[in-house]
Amino acid sequence: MYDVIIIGAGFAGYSAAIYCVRYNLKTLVVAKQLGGTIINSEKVENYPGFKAIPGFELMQKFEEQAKEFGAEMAVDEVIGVVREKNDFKVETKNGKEYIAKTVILATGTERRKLEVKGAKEFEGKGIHYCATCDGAFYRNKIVVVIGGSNSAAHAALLLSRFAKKVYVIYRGAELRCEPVLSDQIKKIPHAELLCGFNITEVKGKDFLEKVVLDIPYKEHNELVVDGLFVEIGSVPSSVIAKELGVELNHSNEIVVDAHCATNVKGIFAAGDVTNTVLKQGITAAAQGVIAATSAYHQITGKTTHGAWG
Amino acid sequence: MAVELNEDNFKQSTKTGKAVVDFYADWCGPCQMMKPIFEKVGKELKGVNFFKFNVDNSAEVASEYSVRSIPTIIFMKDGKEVDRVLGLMYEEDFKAKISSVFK
Repeated sequence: MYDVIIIGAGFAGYSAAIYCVRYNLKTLVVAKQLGGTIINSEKVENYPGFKAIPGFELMQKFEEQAKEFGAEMAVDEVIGVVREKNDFKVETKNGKEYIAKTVILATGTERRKLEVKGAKEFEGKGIHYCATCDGAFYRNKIVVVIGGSNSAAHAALLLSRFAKKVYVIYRGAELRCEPVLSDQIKKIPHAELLCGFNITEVKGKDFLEKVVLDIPYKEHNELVVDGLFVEIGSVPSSVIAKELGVELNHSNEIVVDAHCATNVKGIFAAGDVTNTVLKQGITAAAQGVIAATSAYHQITGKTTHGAWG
Repeated sequence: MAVELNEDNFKQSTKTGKAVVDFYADWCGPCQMMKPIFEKVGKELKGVNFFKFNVDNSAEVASEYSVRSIPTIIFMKDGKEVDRVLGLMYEEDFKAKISSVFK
């Protein structure tokens, strides 16, 4: 029997774990991917305390700290959480069952896939979801980034170091990334911004060769490209929460209050899976800590440092 | 330890028997996550040779095997590719994949 089971091992999950074990709670972290989505980031420059650090390195530090304080870890996929009297049973893909008094959902998000004709066929063969991992294979090639977020801008900047041409295609009138990033992109001579365009189809033989646009660009509907990097956002991983009766909003994010509590007693949530206004590492970590404290509060009946009097 | 291959010994090393090759790079986060899993499974399983190949050492080899995404794990039998997996795999999935590929 655990006091707390934390599902997910990104900023939120690990931060929750560190606080839980320091509250002397018996803590298990179950995650299908250690480190969460940040491990795909080449460089994190906005996590205070680290001027620039690769995402996976930062997460290794989180993991180390959680383990050193005594958190148990299981790399496994949670397929369901069900209520058992006053406790919760967490079931995994590998057939394990764990019981806990409280559960913190820190399941994060999954990447939104490009859903146009041909996209699935060319996945890994020209269509990519990780510029950090796959960008270097496009040395002196032509690439497209689809999307207008910070992630899209980061991908474009990274790819511009390898590729001879980078197109950034975004449906909106202007990129929605931080101005500091769009300014950098605009300064790159071999980068071209196509705002107000959509991709409707991708074509090729063994590998991707062309993307088809909804409206002509320089009088052509097709762009000849070698690679397409998809950065069109993410969707919350909230299926388990929904099955448990946890309230979701219209975007399928878990609705939490200021204590990171959900509508189900004993179930807390933190990080990108919640209806937080900002989805950043630092905010996810903070929510993880709040969720841990709320779980501690519920289990022991104690309050910490007069948090809620 | 999985043996590090290079351009010169790649073909010779994978020519006979069952081989699993991890195409990776030092700058790739998921590759770094895969590394200890690959080593652990490599130590446990007998009868299969475990190799790693740093794509930064030879763009030619990566291109010859059509590797455009890392980590890519290629499963080979007597020098011929029999299957591949793109992206990070965890221990259980990796083991299951190996036994299904080389059954």
